[in-house]
Amino acid sequence: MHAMHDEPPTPEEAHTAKVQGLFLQYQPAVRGYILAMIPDFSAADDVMQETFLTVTRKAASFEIGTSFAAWVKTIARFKALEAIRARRFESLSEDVLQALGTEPREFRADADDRLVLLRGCLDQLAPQARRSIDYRYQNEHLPPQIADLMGCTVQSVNVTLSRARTFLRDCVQRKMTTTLS
Amino acid sequence: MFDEARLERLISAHFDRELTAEEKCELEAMLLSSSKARQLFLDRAEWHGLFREQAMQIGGATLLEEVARAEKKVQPFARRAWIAAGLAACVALGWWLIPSNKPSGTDGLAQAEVEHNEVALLDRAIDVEWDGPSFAPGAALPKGPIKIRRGTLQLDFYSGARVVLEGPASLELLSPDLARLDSGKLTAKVPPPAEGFTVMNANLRVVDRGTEFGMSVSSADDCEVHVFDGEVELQGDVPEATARELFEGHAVSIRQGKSEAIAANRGSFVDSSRLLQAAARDNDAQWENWRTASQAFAETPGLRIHFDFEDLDPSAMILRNRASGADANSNGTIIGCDVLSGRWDKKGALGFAKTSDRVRFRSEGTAAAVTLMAWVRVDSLPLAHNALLSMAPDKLGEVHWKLDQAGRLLLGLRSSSEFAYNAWERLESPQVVTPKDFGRWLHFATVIDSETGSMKHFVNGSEVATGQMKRRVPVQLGLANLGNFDASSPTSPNIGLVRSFNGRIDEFALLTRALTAEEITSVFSGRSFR
Repeated sequence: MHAMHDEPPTPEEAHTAKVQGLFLQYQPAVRGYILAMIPDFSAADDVMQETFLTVTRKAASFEIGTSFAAWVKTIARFKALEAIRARRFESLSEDVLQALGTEPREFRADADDRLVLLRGCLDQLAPQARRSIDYRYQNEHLPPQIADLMGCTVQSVNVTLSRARTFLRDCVQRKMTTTLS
Repeated sequence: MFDEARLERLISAHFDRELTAEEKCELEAMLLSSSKARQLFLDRAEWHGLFREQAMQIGGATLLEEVARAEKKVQPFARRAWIAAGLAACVALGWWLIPSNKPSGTDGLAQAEVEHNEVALLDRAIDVEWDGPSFAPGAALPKGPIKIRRGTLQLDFYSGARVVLEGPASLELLSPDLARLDSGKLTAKVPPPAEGFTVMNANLRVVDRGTEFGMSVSSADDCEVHVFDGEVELQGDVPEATARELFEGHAVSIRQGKSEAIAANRGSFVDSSRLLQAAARDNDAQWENWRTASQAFAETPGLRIHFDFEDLDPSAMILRNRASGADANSNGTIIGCDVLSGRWDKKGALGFAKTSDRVRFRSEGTAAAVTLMAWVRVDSLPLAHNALLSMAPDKLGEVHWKLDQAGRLLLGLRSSSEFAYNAWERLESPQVVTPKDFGRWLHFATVIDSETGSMKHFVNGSEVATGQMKRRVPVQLGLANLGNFDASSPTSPNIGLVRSFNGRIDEFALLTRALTAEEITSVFSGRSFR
């Protein structure tokens, strides 16, 4: 789908498209970074979209070849802090946000591979754990709602989610290091 | 130092908004005092983002909802233009297709319930025109209506009752031993374990007491019940003076509240043995058609290997390569496997069940493009990787063609000699084999074209996945295993890995050119192509 016309893209449009392509590659990492500061899914989604629009608008100022990860992280961080201050989103203290922001750490660039592997790992979860993860990440339920739906205690949902995350992480990492297709 | 297990729990609770005020202070103190804690926190956040991303990609919000939602947020007038431009770009990139607010995430749960709802197996469908949802022979039928405009279905209820339904008919499946016939004709053969099998219509219930009976319904007020063998009991709103019990050779017609005893007439219902004979003739005719098409297929340009699995001799262990001009060195060697029937009763197939079962064959050289095709009956997917074909182990251009446990068709093409995850070009289809497909014959095809850098998967003649190669390597032909995988040497780190296939294969082809989508469709539909 290329807009309404068939003319070839201008160099600016092509550059913007390239930058947006990079954004897609880092999207899970950016989302995680925002969720770390703003745990509410829908509030974080809003910040995610604002980040994308800012990346698009400022695409011209990004030089291909320099670190996209560092650039997009700065924008995401700025947008998240702006939202936390303006809209009083639930978050960690300013000191902690500051410390996290200056912590040297690059986004990983292998999200696509890990997403593929994650699908296989999700299938390996025990049914209860799978349902908890689906309720949490797809239906956007919090542990008290999940506990109601599954007829168990909030405490056991917390434990299930925490263990399922560990399992999924280990499973994807194990698959990443296998030598076979 | 901090307590790492405690930190993990606090991070998880933070993501789930479960932190108490004290716990929040505790987490903050940990994060402030240790760079290692911050690194762990940021790493877990990245995974959290990945899990959320995955969930959003499989949800299903619409493009329009998403754009409308984004536009609402546009406030400053002057910024409208760039947002519109951004939106157009997003649309072009498909970013907005990723749902945001309310993905319906219960699909997986719903599916499990549907499987729980299955009550019968569709054994045969002869000349059937469906009215509404259609099912293929071998399919499990859920509770709900079955409607046909014409033709004949043979259904095996899980209770053991076998029902032959003649179209036009409308039958509602209610449980493994209960169905409602709204219109049409059926005969039910009920073995002793299924005694009590019941067919109802609007007014009455026909309860089997160990029989074969026929029932014909033209409307709510017009119904006949014939007993061919044994006894049935009529219950419900039956006109007075009607016998409640009906025995072999007897029948009753009930029209507009009046009943009449008549003689049972077997001839007015389909005879299931005649039906089976007709089905067998049809089956043989289809096999003959396939044989003609298969002989023409052997002449296809670029065809290197064609196993048709016909005339299998279990003692000889040889699977002949039928490709035109093929030499005996390219014949396959059958190791283990059972000789079974294929897509048609007379068609040969090999069954793969034991972890050692396989067909080994060898071809030479490299190929810029390769097409793999097979007719496969998947019986189950017990392993993480269920190999259809593996070829040229450890070489650049090595091929793995397989199904994963979730029923996705996977291709792996080794494009770098290092032993690492990213040494492979990969193409993964969405789920194409569900438990409902176990026992059905499916046509899989995969095209690898290193000249254009494209990889494609096809199932039953339709494209299901396409991807670009990052590194364009030609396909290495060489030692190959059908239905299995083995390591190159006894010292390989992959020795002992089990990736065997469970099911049957009754045709396989390897071509050293990229077939077009049209060619694959025509092979699938049994037409000779070119």
